[in-house]
Amino acid sequence: MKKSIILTFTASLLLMMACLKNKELVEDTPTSIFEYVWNDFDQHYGGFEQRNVDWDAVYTQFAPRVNDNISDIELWNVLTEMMDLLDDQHVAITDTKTGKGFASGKLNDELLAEREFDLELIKTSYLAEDYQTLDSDGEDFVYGTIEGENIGYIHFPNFEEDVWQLEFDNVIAELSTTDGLIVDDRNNGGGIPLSARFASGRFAQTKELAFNVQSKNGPGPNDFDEKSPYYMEPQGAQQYTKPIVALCNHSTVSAGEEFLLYLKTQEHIQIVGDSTSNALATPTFKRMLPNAWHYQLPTQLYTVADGSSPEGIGIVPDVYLRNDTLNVQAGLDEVLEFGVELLK
Amino acid sequence: MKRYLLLLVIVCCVSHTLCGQTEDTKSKKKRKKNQERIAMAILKHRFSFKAGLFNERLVDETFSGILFQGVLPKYTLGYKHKKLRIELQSSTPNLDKTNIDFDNTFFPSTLLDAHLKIGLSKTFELDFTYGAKLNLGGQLHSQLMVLNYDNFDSGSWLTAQRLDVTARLEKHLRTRKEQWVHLDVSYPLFALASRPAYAGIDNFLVENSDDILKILYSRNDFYSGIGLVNPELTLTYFYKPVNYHDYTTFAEKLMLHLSLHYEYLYINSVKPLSRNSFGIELGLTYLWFK
Repeated sequence: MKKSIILTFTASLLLMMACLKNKELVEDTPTSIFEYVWNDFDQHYGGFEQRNVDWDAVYTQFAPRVNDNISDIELWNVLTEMMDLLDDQHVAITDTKTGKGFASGKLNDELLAEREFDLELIKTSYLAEDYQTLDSDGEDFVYGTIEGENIGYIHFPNFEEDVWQLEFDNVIAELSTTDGLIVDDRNNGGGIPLSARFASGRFAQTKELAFNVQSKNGPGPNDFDEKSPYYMEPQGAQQYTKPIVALCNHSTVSAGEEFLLYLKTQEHIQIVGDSTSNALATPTFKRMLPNAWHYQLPTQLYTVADGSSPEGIGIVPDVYLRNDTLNVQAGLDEVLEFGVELLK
Repeated sequence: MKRYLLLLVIVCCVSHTLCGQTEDTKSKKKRKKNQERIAMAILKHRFSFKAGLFNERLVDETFSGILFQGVLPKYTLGYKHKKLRIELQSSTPNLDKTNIDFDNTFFPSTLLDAHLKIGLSKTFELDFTYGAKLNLGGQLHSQLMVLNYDNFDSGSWLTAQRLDVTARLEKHLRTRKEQWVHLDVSYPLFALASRPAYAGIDNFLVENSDDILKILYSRNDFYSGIGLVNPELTLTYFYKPVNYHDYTTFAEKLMLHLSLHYEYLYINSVKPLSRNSFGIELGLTYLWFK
């Protein structure tokens, strides 16, 4: 009897240990990683059609370059070239061993656009000296008035939650005596959609449908859940409803673009600048790979009231105007100056 | 984990030594006297505490396509009164502190695993079990499992409100010291469970990102049969270091126990989760006599 108890313990232990097996979906080989990533995008990415990307053709193009003998660098090049075709900054991959990262569509026009905007130039050359700065996730949320004009100015560097939100109703109150307002959304790196909605509501005059969002709910290209409508509507203690010019550029990304979709619905707001980055859909959880890389992809689709989608295009301004990088270096912000002229 | 396996072997050897002693007439009389004393007292409540280490291996297709594994400390509080049994088990409830470093990857992640079980059971004495008692019953089982990588850069969860069937085979060992062996088995009949949506993050998550409870406990689906496979097996050895005498001293109301636990979980949600969990626990039970 006693021996049988010990035997039972031992047998149970061995049985339990033997059962400890789980099946991985991806192995640490270039072929397996490539197939896993391609399939993941195929079944989850939300904007192939809007971006005119034939993902099956992408497989045909890139799969021949992958076998289990290629190096890490070669695999990295294949995956980043494949992702870059989507021109979507929410598509990104990182090597956690080296910290090397890549975001789709970032390498060319995005980096160029970043140099078309200089916040220090605006502070020193365009704003009255009493401008204020609040913290927004380590970046400067700046507000004040344009030097020599009764025109207000606000720059949103991002839409992360921080001090600026706590003070925002006071900012609107302070600027309420101005005749017009520049809302500068250039180089806005995005953040939390709820924050973009929070801010836009302070500029709302009427309630309007801004956009619809759908999320993938199956592997097929048209498997999306029901449309969730989002409305621009007045929020906060008071709203700024005098003429507004919103400025944007190709480095206005994500929640920064969502902010513009809200603003676009209002009669008293004009949008000036370059088309935005076109990375609207929220990226999903990071996907981890066995070679210590992780990547992300958006799984949603944004559409506006007429059924069209800003994916692949970005937010198109009412007035198209870009700064010249050399002019910015010389101390001139033509887009801002144009906005001020519109408000005069 | 190796240390605990070694400890298990030592305990098994010790129990073998204890069990292996020949009972002489004197000790038989003493044991009989003890049994009579036990019969005079009525066991009112049992309170228990267990602490253990669990080797967790899981593939959660929402979280990652790769295997995660690590050793997770868990703590269990138990209460038993007549047919009622309540058990609360949790790893650390603070997700901000890493409580499991999955050691085979570059992605150190945390796993919160908590269970509340409220069970009722009825005892049967069966001839074919050689004097062992069989308890059959059921339990309401509330489960919470949250996976978190890098402040939810990746994450997944399972919350389930379940009805399980339970069975316990218990054997009182007739030796000088009081010893028991319990074999507990449970299996879910059905569950209302919440898992992430197909895409992981969807509009519902974005809109409720500041309301974690709403995310975890809304949008339940019904699971049963092959949609929810979760056999749990626990083998527990109880040892009472001080025999009953007059039920007054603290020491004679204590039992030590050692448990081996094995669990396989598979939930066939839109993105399946499979998990193997093997643990070893040490604990104390306090017996409250009327």
